[in-house]
Amino acid sequence: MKRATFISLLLFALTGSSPAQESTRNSLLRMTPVYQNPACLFFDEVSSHTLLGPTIRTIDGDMRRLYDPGSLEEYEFSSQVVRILGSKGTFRANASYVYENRNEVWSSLRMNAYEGDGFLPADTTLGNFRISGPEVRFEYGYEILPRFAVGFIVNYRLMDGLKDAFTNAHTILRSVDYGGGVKLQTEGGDCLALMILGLDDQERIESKSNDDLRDVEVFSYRGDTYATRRRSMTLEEMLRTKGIETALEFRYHLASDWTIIGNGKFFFSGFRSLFPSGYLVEYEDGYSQFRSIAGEVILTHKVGTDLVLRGGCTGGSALSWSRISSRQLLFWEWDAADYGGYIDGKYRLSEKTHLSLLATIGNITTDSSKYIDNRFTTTDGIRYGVRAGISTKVMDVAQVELMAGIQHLDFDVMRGGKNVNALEWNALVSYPLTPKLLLMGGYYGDTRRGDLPSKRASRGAHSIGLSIKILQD
Amino acid sequence: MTRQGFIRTVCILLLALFLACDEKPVAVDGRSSITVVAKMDTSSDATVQSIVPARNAQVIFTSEYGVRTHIADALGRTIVTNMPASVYAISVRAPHPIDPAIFFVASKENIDLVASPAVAETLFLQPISASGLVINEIYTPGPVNNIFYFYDQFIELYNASNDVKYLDGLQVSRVSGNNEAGQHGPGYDERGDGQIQGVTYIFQFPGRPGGHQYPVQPRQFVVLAASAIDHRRMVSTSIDLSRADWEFYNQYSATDVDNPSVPNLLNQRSDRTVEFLINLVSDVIVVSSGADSVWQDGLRIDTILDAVEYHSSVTVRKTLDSRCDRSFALSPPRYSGQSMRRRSPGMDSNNSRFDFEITTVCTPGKH
Repeated sequence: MKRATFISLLLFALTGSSPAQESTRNSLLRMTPVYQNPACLFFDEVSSHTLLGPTIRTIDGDMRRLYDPGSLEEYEFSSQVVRILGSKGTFRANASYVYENRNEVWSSLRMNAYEGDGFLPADTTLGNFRISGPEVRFEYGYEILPRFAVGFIVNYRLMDGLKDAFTNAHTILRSVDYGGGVKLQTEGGDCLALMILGLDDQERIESKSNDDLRDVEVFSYRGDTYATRRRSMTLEEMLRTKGIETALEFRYHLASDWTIIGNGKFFFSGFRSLFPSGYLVEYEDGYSQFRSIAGEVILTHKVGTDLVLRGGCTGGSALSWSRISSRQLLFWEWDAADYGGYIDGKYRLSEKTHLSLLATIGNITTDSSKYIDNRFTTTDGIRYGVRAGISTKVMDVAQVELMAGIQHLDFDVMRGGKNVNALEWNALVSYPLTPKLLLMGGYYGDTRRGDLPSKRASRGAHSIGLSIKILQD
Repeated sequence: MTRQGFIRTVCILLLALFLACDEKPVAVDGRSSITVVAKMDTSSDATVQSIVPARNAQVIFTSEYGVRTHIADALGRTIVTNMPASVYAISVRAPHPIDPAIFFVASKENIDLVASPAVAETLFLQPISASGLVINEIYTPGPVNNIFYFYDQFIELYNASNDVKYLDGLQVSRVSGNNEAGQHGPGYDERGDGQIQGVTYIFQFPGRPGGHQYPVQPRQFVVLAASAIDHRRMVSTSIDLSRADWEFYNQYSATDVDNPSVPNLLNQRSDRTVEFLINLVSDVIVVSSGADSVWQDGLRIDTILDAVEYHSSVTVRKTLDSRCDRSFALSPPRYSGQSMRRRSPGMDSNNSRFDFEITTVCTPGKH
């Protein structure tokens, strides 16, 4: 996880909207912590079930950065199995397959051009990327002592991407994440949990003429301006990231109707850009380092039996730098910080109907020093937003949840653009076909408009999903 | 494991992780600057110096980041700031204010611009008069195609002098041998006897060296086609060489087709029975006077009129003797239709790295 992920986390924490709902599902846009603490599995999962179904996501519009795709369509089929094994613990497995079209990708040969490091393999053409691959995950939680659980997780992802023009860049992203966690929970619901994760990503880019005839030419950018040029019938480059993430969480009941919750996360990773040298040896062209820390404190207050009020403050900062390894020269450095707060309330209007309202405000600052490009940028902007939602039962059968929200950002670090106004909404319906078979459908939409240097631009992201949940004894 | 043991293990793991971190460099890139002052002596009398700034001179910087060109100011100064650290080579070139046949050239290599110091260089440009026939353009990669077509290769000569030159008995060689174990590669003077080794093809113009039957007028281009036919009939993106000035014809080949309307250069190696073709991205081309008729022991350097080495990568080891060419030109990609051409017609500073540039299209018979 790098800058994109870090900022995703903050936006999620502060606005309640999940970037994952519209993300390209690449590993580096995942939220932090990347996974839920597997030790919590034992306490959180209460029934064995199987969940499966497809999801379609689309993104289009001209509010995008230089190397972002012109449009994107993603098709995913995912499944999940949860088994409650009683005294033997709880097991959860996920498997999914993704097929993605990224249209009109300018120049970049990486799956994700905006990771925050200063390295970009590129050619000179506009082309479409087809990306597909599976992801599997296994989690296991086990109570080794009364109210004390441990958990383990391993996740494997293999994405295969192919550009259809000029260099025909073939990109294989292999991601292995592993780790474990512990959770101590009292009978009163107070808890303390710790998780440590190891993240290991490797992206191998091979550019090759599709007819074994022409040379391909790849520009390996160091920063925005300068690139070394390589030309051959086959060219390879390896991008490797190893990281560690720790997450700490506690929940404590101050009084019968007051609860305090705290989350803290620390992330560290090292990124290396490697070129092959001989058959077995690789030499390091560059290195980037990422560190981020984020924390959140939430105070929850129950007012009577129908109203729950919640207030939280969040804060985090991320630092990164990149160097040219052969000369030991720093050429990119940036830091970002986000501090803010939110309040929300959930009100039970009736036995079947709940209302919720959320208001957020915060401040994002970034400081970018692109030494090699002689470009130095500082931004400082606020963001605020309001969301409202309703959850009710229709005809005593179908559960319906609706949400709508608006948001303003002085600048949108994730997607580019200034003075961004966003509108988001989602709908979720679940309908029990039989007592043990639940049909669920959902839609999420996000449209936003913002100022690019040359124009006012817009962007739309939509996802729609359908799933079947089979409950088991 | 006890609770204390568990905590201790976690702490040790975290500490080990931090100790394994790479340190952040102190020095930053992009802070280097260089000032180049170019001067030249334009006097026509050797006893009278007339050193003037090389105003509006073309200043070419090459490094691993490619080529960047600046124009000197009225004082002959070029100041470039915020350059990325790299090893640079600089070439400055300016035309003579009166005589277009004279160029002023200076170059300096291996300037290592490190993190932040400013570097200043004063270069005194030396006049080079265009003294005769030079290789002006080499077109090797073939047109844009997908059938491996590269038979439209040509070499273009240019008479850069003010005098009529003659092609009689001149030899055009491809030098790509000399690759056995222990040898240094194509065009290397292995024995130190003033001869380069590795001749794989050698074709010769008709006539006797020193003869006057085949004149080349001043500023005239001469196109030597590998096959003097209209190649557009085979590949639409190719070129018409049916009106080339000369054609390489291998009289020992059963398959080489001759265009009877185009005069031939003939093969001097009877053991070579295929038509004249040169490597698409890496080779050495030599034009020699023909005075050295015994090519088997190498070509005498003092008979060489011009030689150009070219490669596809700047990191390739140079092999051609530096008396023939001090560096090598960068070749265009295979099947790109691009060409290697001198920056200015006939301007030869004996340094192909600076003298040649890649053009998006080939220009046989013109510049």
